[in-house]
Amino acid sequence: MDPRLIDYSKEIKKLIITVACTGGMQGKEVNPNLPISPDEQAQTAYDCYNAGASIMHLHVRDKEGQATADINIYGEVVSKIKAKCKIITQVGNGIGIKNFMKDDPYQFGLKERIDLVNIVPKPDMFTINAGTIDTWNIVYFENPIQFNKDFLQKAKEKGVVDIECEVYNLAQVPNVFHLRDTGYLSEPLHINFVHGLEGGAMPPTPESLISFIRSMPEGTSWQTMAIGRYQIPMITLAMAMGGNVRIGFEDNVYYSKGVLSKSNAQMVEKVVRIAKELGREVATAEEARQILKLH
Amino acid sequence: MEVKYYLDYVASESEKLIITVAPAGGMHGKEVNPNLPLSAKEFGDAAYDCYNAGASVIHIHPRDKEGKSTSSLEAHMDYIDAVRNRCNAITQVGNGIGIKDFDKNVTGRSSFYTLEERMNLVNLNPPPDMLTINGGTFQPHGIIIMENSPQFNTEFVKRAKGKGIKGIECEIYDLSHIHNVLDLRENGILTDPIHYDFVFGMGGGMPPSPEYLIYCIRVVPQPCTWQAACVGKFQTYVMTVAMALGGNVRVGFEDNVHYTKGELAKTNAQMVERMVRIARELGREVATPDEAREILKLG
Repeated sequence: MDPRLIDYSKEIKKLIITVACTGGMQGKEVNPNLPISPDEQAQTAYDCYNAGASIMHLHVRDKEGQATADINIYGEVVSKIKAKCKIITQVGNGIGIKNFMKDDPYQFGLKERIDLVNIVPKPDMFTINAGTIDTWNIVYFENPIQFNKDFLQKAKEKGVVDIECEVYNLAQVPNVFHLRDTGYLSEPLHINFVHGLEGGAMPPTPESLISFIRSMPEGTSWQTMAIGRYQIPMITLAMAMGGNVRIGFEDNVYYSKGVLSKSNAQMVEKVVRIAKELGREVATAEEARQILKLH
Repeated sequence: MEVKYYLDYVASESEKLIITVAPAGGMHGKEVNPNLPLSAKEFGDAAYDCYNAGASVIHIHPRDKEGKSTSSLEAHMDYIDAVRNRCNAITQVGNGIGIKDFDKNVTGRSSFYTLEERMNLVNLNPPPDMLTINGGTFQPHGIIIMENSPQFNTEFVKRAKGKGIKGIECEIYDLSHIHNVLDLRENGILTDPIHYDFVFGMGGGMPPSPEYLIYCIRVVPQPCTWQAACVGKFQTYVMTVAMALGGNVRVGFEDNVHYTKGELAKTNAQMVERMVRIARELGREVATPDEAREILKLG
């Protein structure tokens, strides 16, 4: 794709806002407003939906607030969200890191991760990760191509064919094309360009974003995320260039410099205000389903 | 610009935002937007409203009684005074003056002001806070050649400095213009911090492409200040990108008379207000004129 700014004389694409409300790493110790329990997550999804978000990216937690591979909790959260609103549910297949920031961090393994295809009720989307990285230089986050193929095959058998690829760096781009060319992914590709996660992701610079955009074929639906204080500048660039965005406590727990976010919805509201200044309407969940050509 | 990893791209850790307004320009008039301020009185009022909205620099091109651009020093002083009498915004005079008979450009009868007329701007007394130079010769809008030779720029800057003008802003319309400015720096004509204005979207200049903007930022040496300007419909997008990258911005009817698609801007201040709102979302504070003087080292 050619990285260009919005040309309003032609078309302004509606903005799809994804919220990663919890993540599988940090907990309430970094921000007490981070939603942990299924009820908190469902309420968060509903509040974000009302504020303008159309996709809820999910990692769930156990009773101790730790990341968990328990598909019953996943099922409970998906079910509770679906009972409240039409937001698109998207489960991240990395699950997360148990004992994050402790002496014995544990990245959930491939067997536990592949079991996510058995979540009932099934989520609308899964994400896969296009390659292996060393998350925060703490633990290896393994994503071998054969694992991704197995995951996609099993997800398809369970009826989940809408997949977002998290791409952390340019070396992972050929992996995405390989999955497409071997029939495991179909176009339009849904790509999330990840910036600022140390240990494997591209740095949060405009050059990174532009290189990512240039690496993808025409017609790709793309969004951008960046970690921490780079979140707002990077997603603002993406919005001005017609891309979609992901925000939320998984990626950043601050609202502005030195100020913790009160809620995920508060961040959605900020994104909606910036979008409005740029003349971009915000897609409803129903519109997002059409734009992304979800099945 | 030397990259300190990527901290220079955290908007909230950047310097305060300097908003420049070019309320009128030296080309189009009320025929494209009846709200464009033409007379010195209208211009001063517009500048004051922009100042109240958050602008700290007013970029000045005066008009004559018929509303056409003029090289008259008296007219320039009328407009400078019209701003100074209302507020302490930084006054900045563009050394291109404008295009003579701009409305007749299709018949090829419009022209630029002569180099002598433009050079004469250094004699404004009392001088404006800033003058601009243009980084190189090019063909604005593909109409006529605008001459900005290194010899002219060298002489202009020397004389301006001789008159005590500390602030020179360099308008960069093309990547090669950066090289020309760096030559002036190499020769000691311009000294750090150099103030760059990267201009996009004008026919004959750089397209409004993020890649060009990023290139500009990366090649200019520190310490410097930079702003982006953009002609036409891409203005808000280029300005938003510039703000997110820690740069300053320029808005105003000289560059763009529309507020959004199909909607004419009501006032210049309306455009400043939008920049202030976006800056706030990005965590950037807006500089007052005094703070801008400090940042621009106008002393």
